[in-house]
Amino acid sequence: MISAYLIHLLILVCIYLILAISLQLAVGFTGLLNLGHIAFYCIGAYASALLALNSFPFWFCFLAAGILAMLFGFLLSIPTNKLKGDYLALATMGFSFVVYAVALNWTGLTRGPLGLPGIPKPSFHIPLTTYNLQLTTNFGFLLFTFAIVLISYFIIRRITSSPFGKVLEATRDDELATRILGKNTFKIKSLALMTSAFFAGISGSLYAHYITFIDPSSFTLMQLIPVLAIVIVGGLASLKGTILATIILVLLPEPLRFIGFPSSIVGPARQIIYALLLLLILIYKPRGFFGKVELE
Amino acid sequence: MDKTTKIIIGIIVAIIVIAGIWYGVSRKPTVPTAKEPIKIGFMGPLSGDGASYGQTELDAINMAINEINQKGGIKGRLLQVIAEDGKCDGKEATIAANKLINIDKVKIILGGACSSETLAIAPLTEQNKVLVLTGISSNPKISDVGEYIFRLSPTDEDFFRPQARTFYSELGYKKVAVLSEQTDYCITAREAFIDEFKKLGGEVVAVEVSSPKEKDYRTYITKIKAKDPAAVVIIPQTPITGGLMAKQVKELMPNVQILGSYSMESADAIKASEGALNGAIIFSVATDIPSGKVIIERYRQTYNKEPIDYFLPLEGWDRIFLVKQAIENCDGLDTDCMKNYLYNSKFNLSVGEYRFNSKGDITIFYTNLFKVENNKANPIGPTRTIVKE
Repeated sequence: MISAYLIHLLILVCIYLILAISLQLAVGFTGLLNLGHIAFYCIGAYASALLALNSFPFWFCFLAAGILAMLFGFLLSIPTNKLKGDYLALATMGFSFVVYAVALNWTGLTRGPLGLPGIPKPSFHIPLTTYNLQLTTNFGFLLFTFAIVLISYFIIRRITSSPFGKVLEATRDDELATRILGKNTFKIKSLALMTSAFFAGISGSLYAHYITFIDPSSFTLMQLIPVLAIVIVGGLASLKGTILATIILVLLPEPLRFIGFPSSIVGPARQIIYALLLLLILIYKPRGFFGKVELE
Repeated sequence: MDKTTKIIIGIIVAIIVIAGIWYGVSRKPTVPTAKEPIKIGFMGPLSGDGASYGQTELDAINMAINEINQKGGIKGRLLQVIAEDGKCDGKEATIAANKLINIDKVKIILGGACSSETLAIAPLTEQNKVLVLTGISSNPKISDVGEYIFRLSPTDEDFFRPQARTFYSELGYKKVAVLSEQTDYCITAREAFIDEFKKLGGEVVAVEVSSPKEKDYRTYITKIKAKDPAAVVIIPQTPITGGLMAKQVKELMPNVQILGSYSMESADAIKASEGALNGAIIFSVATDIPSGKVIIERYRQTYNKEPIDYFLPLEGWDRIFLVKQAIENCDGLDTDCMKNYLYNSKFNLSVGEYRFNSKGDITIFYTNLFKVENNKANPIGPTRTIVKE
C-alpha cells in the first residue's frame, strides 16, 4: 500500500514540524542561534523512553519529556544569557556535545550506544471516559501527532503574534534598545528558550515512541543540520515558511528513491542531488521562502 | 508570495510530479506473473561512515544474484535486488523499510548492517511478516525482537568469550589491558571478553575506551603503559581504527604484544597500522574454509578490489542462497513457510555448515588465530569450530 508509506512519511513530517517551529521560535523570532536544540530533542526522547520502559503511562512520559527539556532549557539559558550570535552558537553547540556524551557514556542509565529498544507505542486513557486510546496503528499515531502539531503551531503562533512576541523580535533586532525601554531581556530570552525546549522535548518523545528504538547516534549535531536547514530555507521568523520548508525538505529525498541509480552509487547520488536542490533554493532565495530577517 | 518563490515551488512540485509519473510508467503490472522478477530488498548503510560495510555486502549480494540469474533464476523467475540506504540510522532505516515493504512489496529484506537499523525496522517487518536476514548486526537484543529475523554472524557474546579463552589458556597471557571504542558492538564485545577473561583467573589491568571517531589514542595508551600489561588487547569498531590503535600502541610501548580482534586481520587494518601489526596475534573469523575462499576469490575478480573484510562477502553471498533455498522449498513467497524452513534446515554454504537456533541466530561458526608477518595475516593452527545452542 502506498498509503502506509505516505502515513509513515507524514508522521515524520509532523515530528519535524514540531522540532522546526520550536527552533524557529528561538532562532527566527528571538535571534538565539541555538545549536543545542538537538540536545533538548535528545533529552525528551530519552526521558520519555526511559519512563515508558519503566511502565509509566504515556501521557506522563510525554509531558515529562517536555518539562524536563524545558528545565534544561532554563539551565542552559543561565550561562548563555549574555552571549550573542556566533558565541551563543558555540556555547549551545557545547551543550549538545555534553548531552550526547552523557547519552553515550552513562551506560547504566541509557545503555549507551546499545540504545533502548522496545519502547512501547503510546496508549492512554482518555479522562472522564472509559475509552482507552491505543495508538498502535500508524494512522492513529498520525492523527495524534497531527493534533499535537496543530496545538504546538497555534501556541507558538499565539506567542509570536502577541505583544510578548513583539518584544522577542525587538530583542532579536536590538537588545540594548529593548532594555532601555524597560524590558528584562534576560528573562525574555530565557522564556523563549524554555518554550522552544519544551516543544523539542515533546517532539523527541513522539519520535522515541514512534520509531520504538533510540540510540545516541540519532542525536548528534549532524542531525540538527536538516532542522536548521528547514528554518533557514523556510525563512527566519516565518512560521508559514517553516511549514512549507519542512514538508519540502522531509519529502524531497523520497522521489529520488524512484530514480533507478545503479546500486554502486545509489547512496551518494541521492545525497548529491538533494544537496544541489537545497543549494539552488538558497541561491535564488537567500532569505528562504518567506524570510523577513537575515541571520547576523 | 513573490515570483521567485513561486518558481522554486513550481520546480519542486514539477520534480515530484515527474518522479511520480516516472515511477508510475516504469512500474510493472501489479498482478504477479510467473515471469516477473522476485524482488528482494536490501537495506544497509550506503553513505556515511558505515558505507564500506553496506557496499561490500551489496556487492556480494549482486554477485550472487547474477550467478543465480545466469542459471535461469528460481523456478524460472529472475531475482532483482532493490537497494535502499539505511544510513546506519534508525529513522532512515524505517523510511527505507517502509518504502521497500509498501511500495516495492518485497517479502524479504536483507539488512540492516548496523544494529540500529535492524532494531528500528524489527517492529515493522514483524507486523508485515517480512523475512529479515541480517549479516553483521551484533546487538544481543536482536535475538529477541522478532521471529522473522535471522542473523548470520555470531553475537558478540558468542565470539568474544572464546577469544578470551584462547588468549588466556592457549597463548598464556594472564595480565592484559583492553583498548576499545564506545560503540554498541565494542561494548558488548569487550564486556564479554573481560568477563570471561576474569572468570578464567586472568587480570585485566586497564580498560581504556575512546569515543567513536576519535583518532588519537595516546592518552589512553599512556594510562595503559603505567599498568605494565603483558599484552594489549585491541577491540576496535572498524579495521582502520584497529590499525591506528596498533600503530600508536607500538609507538609508546614498543615491546608489548598486541592481541587483535575481528577485522584487524584485514588489509585495511594492516595498512593503517604502518607495519605496527607485524608480530601481532589476531583472533578472527576463519578465512581458510575452502567454500569461503572461492567466494573471496570471485569477489576479487568481479570487482577488481580487495574486500574490506573476509566475512562480509561471505554473509552477503550466503543470504541470497539462503533465500533461494527457502523460496524453492516453499510455494510462492509465503514467509511463514520460508521462516519455518530456515529454522528447521541445515545449510552448507560459503560461511560453512550451519543452522539457526530458535532465536534465529547462527549456531555454528568458524574462527582462527592469525599472525601478522611481513604485513600479511596468516592463519596459524587449525580452524576452530564454535557451536552454540
